[in-house]
Amino acid sequence: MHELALCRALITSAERELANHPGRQLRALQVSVGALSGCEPDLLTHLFPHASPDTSAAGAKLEITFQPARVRCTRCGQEAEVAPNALCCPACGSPAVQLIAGDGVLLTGLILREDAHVQ
Amino acid sequence: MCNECGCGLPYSPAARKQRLPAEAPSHETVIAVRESLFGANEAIAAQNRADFRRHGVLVLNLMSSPGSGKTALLEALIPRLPLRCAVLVGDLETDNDARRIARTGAPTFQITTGQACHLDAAMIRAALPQLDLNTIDILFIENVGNLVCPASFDLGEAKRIALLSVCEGDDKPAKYPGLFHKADLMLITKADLLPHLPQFDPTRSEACLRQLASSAPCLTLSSLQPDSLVPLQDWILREHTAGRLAHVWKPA
Repeated sequence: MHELALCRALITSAERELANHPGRQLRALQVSVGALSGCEPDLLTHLFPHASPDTSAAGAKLEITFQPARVRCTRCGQEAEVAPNALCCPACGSPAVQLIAGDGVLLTGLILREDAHVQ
Repeated sequence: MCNECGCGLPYSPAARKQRLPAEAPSHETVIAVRESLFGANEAIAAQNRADFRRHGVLVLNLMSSPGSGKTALLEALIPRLPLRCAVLVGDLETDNDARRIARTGAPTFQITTGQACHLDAAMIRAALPQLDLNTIDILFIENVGNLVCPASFDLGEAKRIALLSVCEGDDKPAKYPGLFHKADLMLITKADLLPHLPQFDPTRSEACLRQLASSAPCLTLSSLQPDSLVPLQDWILREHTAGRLAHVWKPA
């Protein structure tokens, strides 16, 4: 249950980026949540409005994309989406895989609009 | 697929500048960003790790569900190690565990997390002034009992140890892959109870761990049976030596 801390980190990152775009307001934050990240997307959505008042993200929406776990096999070269609890290469069975996606929680994008369009 | 960091996103940082606004009304702009929300924690963890390495301190992060025997293991293990140990203990409330471990003579400090379900790198950083790293060989960090959140927070440790007691389900690694797939060592604890718990099969636990593409060693032990701790002691001594050599021989 560290989703509230993640919401705060999200807002800090977004505000830093927003500083490069004067005259714009945040409409939405795009977030990628990995299958192995330990982060629960529903909790993130639920908690975000509680973390955002009095910040530039007040009223902004979260757009969450779930990122399944993906591995790249260092033996046969196969890249594949896998279940979080079955990370070996589905093609050759090797445990010599690199986890290439699904491990993190990332801020991937911001949707901004001109201040004039804000009600 | 991103070619730069392999994060699985359909673009790379180099492509960021050229990326066109996608499906947004004309007055809206889509800005591509890529920032880990654990970035701030990881930056502090890197500082911790650098401090530990500089002092040749092997830091072991112990993670498990509550009641798997982390404290009892440290009580039994520390007196048997021919190295100077210190302990940081994370709990939501009380310093009961720290007081128990302190009886071994090792400097032990409680980190009371309040409602936080895990330790983070900043909590470790804040506790460091209490420790004299020059007089320590091994720092054990007993994380908050929780199989989800601690896995996401790098503390600056050298190795992660996941504990699983035989009173739990033997398929825990399959249920909590986020924590177990990152473990450098898995310990099956309270093995003295195995004769009473025929439903727990240590080989099944290890099979679940192997499914996570993990080659981490798996040791079965009981804090009440000193002989069973020997393989763990050997593992710790090997890791400590390897860490010191890596530091000594590391090119400038």
